[in-house]
Amino acid sequence: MLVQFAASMVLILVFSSMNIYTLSLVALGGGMMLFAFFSYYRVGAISGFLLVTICAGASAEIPTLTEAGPLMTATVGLVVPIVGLALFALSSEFEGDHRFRQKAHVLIAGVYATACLASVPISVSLVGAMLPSLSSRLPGLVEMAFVLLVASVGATLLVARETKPN
Amino acid sequence: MTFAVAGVLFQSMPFVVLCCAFSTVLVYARSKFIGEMRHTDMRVTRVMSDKLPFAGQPMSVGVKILNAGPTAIKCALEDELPEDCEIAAGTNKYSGIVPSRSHLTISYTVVPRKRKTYVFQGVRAEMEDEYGLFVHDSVIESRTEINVHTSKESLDRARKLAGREHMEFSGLSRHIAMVMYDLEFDNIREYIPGDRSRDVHWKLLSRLDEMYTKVYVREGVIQTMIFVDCSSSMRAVGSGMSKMDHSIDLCMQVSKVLLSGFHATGVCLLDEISVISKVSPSVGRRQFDRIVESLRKVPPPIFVANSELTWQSQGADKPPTPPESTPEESDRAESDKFLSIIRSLGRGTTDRSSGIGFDGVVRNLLARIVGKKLMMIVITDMLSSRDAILSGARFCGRKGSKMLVIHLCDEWYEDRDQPLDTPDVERLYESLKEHIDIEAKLRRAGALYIRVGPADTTAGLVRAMKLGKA
Repeated sequence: MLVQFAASMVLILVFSSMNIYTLSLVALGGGMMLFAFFSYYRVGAISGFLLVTICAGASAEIPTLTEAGPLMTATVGLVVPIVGLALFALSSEFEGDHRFRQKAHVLIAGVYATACLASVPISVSLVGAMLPSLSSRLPGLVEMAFVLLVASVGATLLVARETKPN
Repeated sequence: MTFAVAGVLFQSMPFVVLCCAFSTVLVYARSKFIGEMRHTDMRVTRVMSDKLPFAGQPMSVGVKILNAGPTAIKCALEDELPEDCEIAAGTNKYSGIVPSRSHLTISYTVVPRKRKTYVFQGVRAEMEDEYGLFVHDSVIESRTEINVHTSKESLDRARKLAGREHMEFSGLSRHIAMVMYDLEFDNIREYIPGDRSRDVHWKLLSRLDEMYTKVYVREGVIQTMIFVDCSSSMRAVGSGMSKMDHSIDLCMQVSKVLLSGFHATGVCLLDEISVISKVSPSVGRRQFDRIVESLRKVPPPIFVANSELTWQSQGADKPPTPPESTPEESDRAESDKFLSIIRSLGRGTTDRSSGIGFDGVVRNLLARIVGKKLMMIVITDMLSSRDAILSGARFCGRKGSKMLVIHLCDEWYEDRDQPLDTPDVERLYESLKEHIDIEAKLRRAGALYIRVGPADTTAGLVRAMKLGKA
């Protein structure tokens, strides 16, 4: 878990441009997370995580998702480390040895995240293929709308599944 | 959600991407939880320490919960207690992580308040995922049934009573209340002053003008069979004392008194149709234990509200129609209907017994012991099995066996919190007339009869029987 935390923090720092204030806040958030993790205190860990997340979101530069560079930054510099940090923070109160060896849920989450991020490039390429006369550049608000639409519909469908004990 | 709103308001793509990352965490956690739940294999084994639990006595329960699945489970477990059961010590709950392929044991002590069958349905499990985001409620089924006997005080009372009271009478007595010994005619001898008048050979007196006395030899102890009527009317309980519980106490105590006097005693529990349990008469060392064990099989009582019993006893055809029909009232109407059917089973019917239930059991029993006598003690409320008991008493009288009917008067078991009004008095008068009629019929058939209520104890009953007041 600590490796996961360290790797996520490194990715955030590498892919964002932070000033000294943001860096101090990230350090504070990271410290809070570590302290809460070792104290088995989930609320503290989540508070630190939110601090780190807001700083990471504010300092990341992703103008559009239709280009490879910003898309890579969004994936590797934001989604992957934030997911890692979120799981680190949420599992801080779980004391047992919990290693559920199945790849299905990792695959589902991966496909879901990819679908959310790739929704904009896919939509743009579909529009471009069907209506070549239209400009391939979409306004930022429309891109956000695409991402949020796919994210909300996908999350609703996947989370609403019933749990059936054996 | 907040990040999505922030992203739209500030037109910031990173915040929208963060929203996406949060949803991914949610999807991941949910998928993982579903997978874990599919592989969960929780097994529950419940062990009751007491093989013969008594009402009001603490009973130890051990619940072994095995997590046979591949994942550790964070859960809150609670062994579901049946009604009328309360925890005396320990706890029936556990909260924490059950590691994979391991087990934990919850131990606690419960006190069952009443005599009845208690059913432990299973363990309620509230499982939580590793991240504390999702919860799943389920019940791990593990059904355990225990028959709780009547209170232990009754058993202790029976033991004390057995040391104090004895059923047989000795010496000269004008009352032949309880014939506990079978006498066989031996010869005649000259009359000696002090001989009982019933032993004088009156026919020889008229012929020889001399008084002779018949001499009997004691052949053996008459076996006694106690019949406990477990029909529906006996099991119906209002707010008053349960007739069934009282009859169990009486049966247990009377059998103990008889056994202490070395009278072979057995018990037969029967309902309207069949025999529930039977212990043949014997004087063995473990006979009383066998009787107590057999009495556990008495069916549980049927609880009915007092007001329902009242209107049914009045002989009304229908329950009073409520102004508004609520679910509770409709349930009450159903139970009213049920009880009125039960009560009508034994009242006002002119049909002869069908040979099943008590009647059939008596015939079978007497057919098997040809040439021997049997003392039968029947504890009943004379409602559901009235005709069968009357028929059995007639048959018993014809075969030379003796029957004692202990009649638990239904009306006396009602708990009255209000003074009697005119319809109540009329109803009680009608039922008293009916009881007198039953008594007359039983006495004509050669049976002994005693009417008891909830205040009557076995000691008083034994004394009444000894003194020939039955």
